[in-house]
Parts: sequence; C-alpha cells; structure tokens
Amino acid sequence: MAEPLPEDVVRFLDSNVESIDQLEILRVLGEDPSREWAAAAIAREIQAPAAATSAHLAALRARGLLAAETRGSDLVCRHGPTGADLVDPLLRVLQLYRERPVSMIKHVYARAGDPLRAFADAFRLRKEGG
Amino acid sequence: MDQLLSGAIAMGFCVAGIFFLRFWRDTRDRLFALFALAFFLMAANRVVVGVSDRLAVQEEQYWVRFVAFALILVAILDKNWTGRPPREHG
Amino acid sequence: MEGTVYLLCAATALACGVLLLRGYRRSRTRLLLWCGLCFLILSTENVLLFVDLVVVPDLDLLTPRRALALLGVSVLLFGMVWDGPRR
Repeated sequence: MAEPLPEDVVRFLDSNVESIDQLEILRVLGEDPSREWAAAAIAREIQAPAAATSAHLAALRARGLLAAETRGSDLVCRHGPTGADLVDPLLRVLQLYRERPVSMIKHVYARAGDPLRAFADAFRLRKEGG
Repeated sequence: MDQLLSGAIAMGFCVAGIFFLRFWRDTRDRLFALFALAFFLMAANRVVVGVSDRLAVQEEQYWVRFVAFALILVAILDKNWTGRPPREHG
Repeated sequence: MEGTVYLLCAATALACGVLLLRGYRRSRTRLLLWCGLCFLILSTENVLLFVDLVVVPDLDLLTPRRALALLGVSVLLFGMVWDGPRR
C-alpha cells in the first residue's frame, strides 16, 4: 500500500483542483513557464473538449493559479501563480505530480467523483487560501 | 385538485429537506444544514398557503418563503466569507 | 413595492440555479444539473407568482404555478435519488 500524499499537497489539491483535467492543465503550463498557450491548444494537448477546457481555465484563473489574458476572442494562458502564497505550493504539487502521478490522479479522481463536494464547490465564488 | 397538487409539492420539498439533512450528516458541511432548513421552511410555506383561503392571499405568507431563500443566501455567503479553511470530507 | 418578496425569491433562486449550472459545466457532476434546473424552474415559478398577483390580478395563473413548482421539486428529487452520492 503506497504511503499517503503529504497533507499540504492534499490541502492544495482539495482547495484548487477540481478534476484531473485541471491538474493536467497546470502540468502542461508548468513544464515551460514562459510559453503561452491558447485555450484550444491546451485542450488538444490534454485531450479534453475545448469548451470544458475553457471553463477549467477560467476557474484556475479565478483562483490565481495561472496568468491569462484575452487577445481578441482567444484566451491565452501561461504558468504564473498570482499570489506569493501559491508559488511554492504549486511548484511542490507539480513536482510531486511528476514523481507520483498515479497517487495524485487517484486522489483527485476520488474527490472529483463526489457529487456533494461538487455541489458545495459550486457555491464557492472566490479562490480559497491554500 | 389544487389541494392534491399543493400537498404533493409540500411533500416534495419536505423530502428534499430530508435529503439535504442526510447530505449534512455525511459531509458535516454547514451549507447542507442550511439548505435542509430552507427546504423545510419552503414545505411549511406551501402547507400554510395551501391551507389558507385562496381568495385571501396575504403577502405575509410569502415572507416565510423569502426567509427560506434568505437562508440559502446565508449559506452561500457563509461558504465564501467565513475565512475558514475548507472542511475535509471523510 | 408590493410583490417585492416574490421577486426577491425569484432572484435568489435564479442565482442558485446559475451557480449550480456553472458548477455542472466545470465538473460534469449530474446532481448539479438537476439541482440547477430545479432552482431555475422555482425562480420562474416565483416570477409567475409575481405576475399572477401583481401584474395581472384578474387572470388566474394558479395551475401553471402549481405545475411549475411540482416540476421543479420533481426534478430535484429525481436528481437526488438518481445521481446522488453512492455510498
């Protein structure tokens, strides 16, 4: 039985990451922090539908986990946590995701499948602290 | 006929309230407790309105309904602005 | 203003419905879809209540109001039973 994920990572995931797609978006952006991605390009990269990806990008942006700007009709993002208290936890989470992807995916998936958690999360309007 | 419909609606809200109560039991998230209370109030409101004389509609009856929705607003505000870390679900 | 309470109820229900449907779009959790639809239907029912009692008091909209309320709560109960938590 694998050892459980560290508690600070769990807290970060539970507050900020709703689904595996969101985790994948953060991973893709984090691999090359200077690179900019259009929403459609990210969707292709993580193999997710474009509309859902846009919704995820908006949610992650609202939580200050990525830098985004609208150019014309496109949303363009890149890695860039806005908030000093997010920089380190995000990097730690991404690092752990590289080392223990299965455990992370299992944790996010278990939480993402909980309808009551999703119900309560729907009413969260602002980003939560880490 | 109207009494049947009103009764069905009141029962429906009551059962929904019981479901929210159960969700609260499972998660200990205050949001569900407030929703449960709100839906029980809506059920009570339906009973009061259903029992009273239709021709003498009184706006006061509907303030109970507003309190129910206000509780939902309180639940939303509470979820966002208490400044506490999110609860872990068991 | 007379009838303010009905519009306040409608606005709150609308806000809940929108938040839940937004959450559904993000998480694809079906429970949120049913709950969101329920609140939208209840919001419409409250608007109809306002219309019935304040705008067109001569016209009786009781039956459509009851139908909407019954539909809303039925959708909610269906969602809770069908797509509620598993354990």
